[in-house]
Amino acid sequence: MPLLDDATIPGNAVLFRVLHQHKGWITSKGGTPRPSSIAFFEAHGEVSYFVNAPGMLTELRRIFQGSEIASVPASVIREKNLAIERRPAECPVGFQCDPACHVVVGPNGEMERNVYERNARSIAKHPDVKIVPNDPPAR
Amino acid sequence: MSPYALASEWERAQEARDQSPAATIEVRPQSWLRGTVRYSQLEPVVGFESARWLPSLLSDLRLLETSGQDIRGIGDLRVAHATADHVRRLLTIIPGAYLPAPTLAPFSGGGVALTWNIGDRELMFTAYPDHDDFVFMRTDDSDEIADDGILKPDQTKELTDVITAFLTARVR
Repeated sequence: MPLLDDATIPGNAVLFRVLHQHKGWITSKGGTPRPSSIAFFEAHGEVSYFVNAPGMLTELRRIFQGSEIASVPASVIREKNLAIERRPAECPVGFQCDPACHVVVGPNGEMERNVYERNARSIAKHPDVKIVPNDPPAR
Repeated sequence: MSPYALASEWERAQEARDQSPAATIEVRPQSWLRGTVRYSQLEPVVGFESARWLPSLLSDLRLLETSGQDIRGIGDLRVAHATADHVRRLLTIIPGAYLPAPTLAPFSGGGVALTWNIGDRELMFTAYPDHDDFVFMRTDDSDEIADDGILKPDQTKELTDVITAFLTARVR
């Protein structure tokens, strides 16, 4: 079902995509590690993200220990004709931030899968999409 | 289109390569191409001896099938038996011996991606649950999309064209 874009999420909002530890989800093409397009594919067109809010990165690192996290501006997603819809009910168990920060991203209408993959690839390669550096260990 | 047209196309590409000073990737898939065209009613089968990476890839695929998890906040990475079978079918069609070892990765919603790289050039096939086709994407030596689309396993001519284009693209 097509997603309904939530206008309360501004274009300058930063969304976090947690990257699975499978080696295919990160690529070093171009010299710098970045998420691969596979990280933005979803068979049903609903990719999980978290809207940045105070404490969000710390919470994601607590829940998804060892996983890299990519930051994606909301505007980059919308440029690709993808919608951002809040899905608080699909939050991870034990999530301690605002559940309304959990969103899914996908087509807001009919989209062929090859076009969807092309868009996902554009997101993965966008210069504003980066893997968030890990905090240095405390001394 | 004549069934021999593809072989002729390959030969023309070979001639063009021989006459050009530009470097090319050294691959020789002629016998596979000709076999595919002349005996189009028979699907070429990839033997274990012809693709050294195949046994470990099949093992990795089996692992995805048996150990995938539904992780809230990341995605449902469980791969259904039917989807894994669909990937296995693709592996029986493609000319494994002429391709480098691919990367196998699950993606959210129960999909599987199979990716080959030669330098910055990439060929990716994705299998989706409940779909009897594959989405493919081929990039050129600049890592820009050269071709993409959706193919069914019985479209052997089109699959052949995609793989041939991937193998024969020029290196800058």
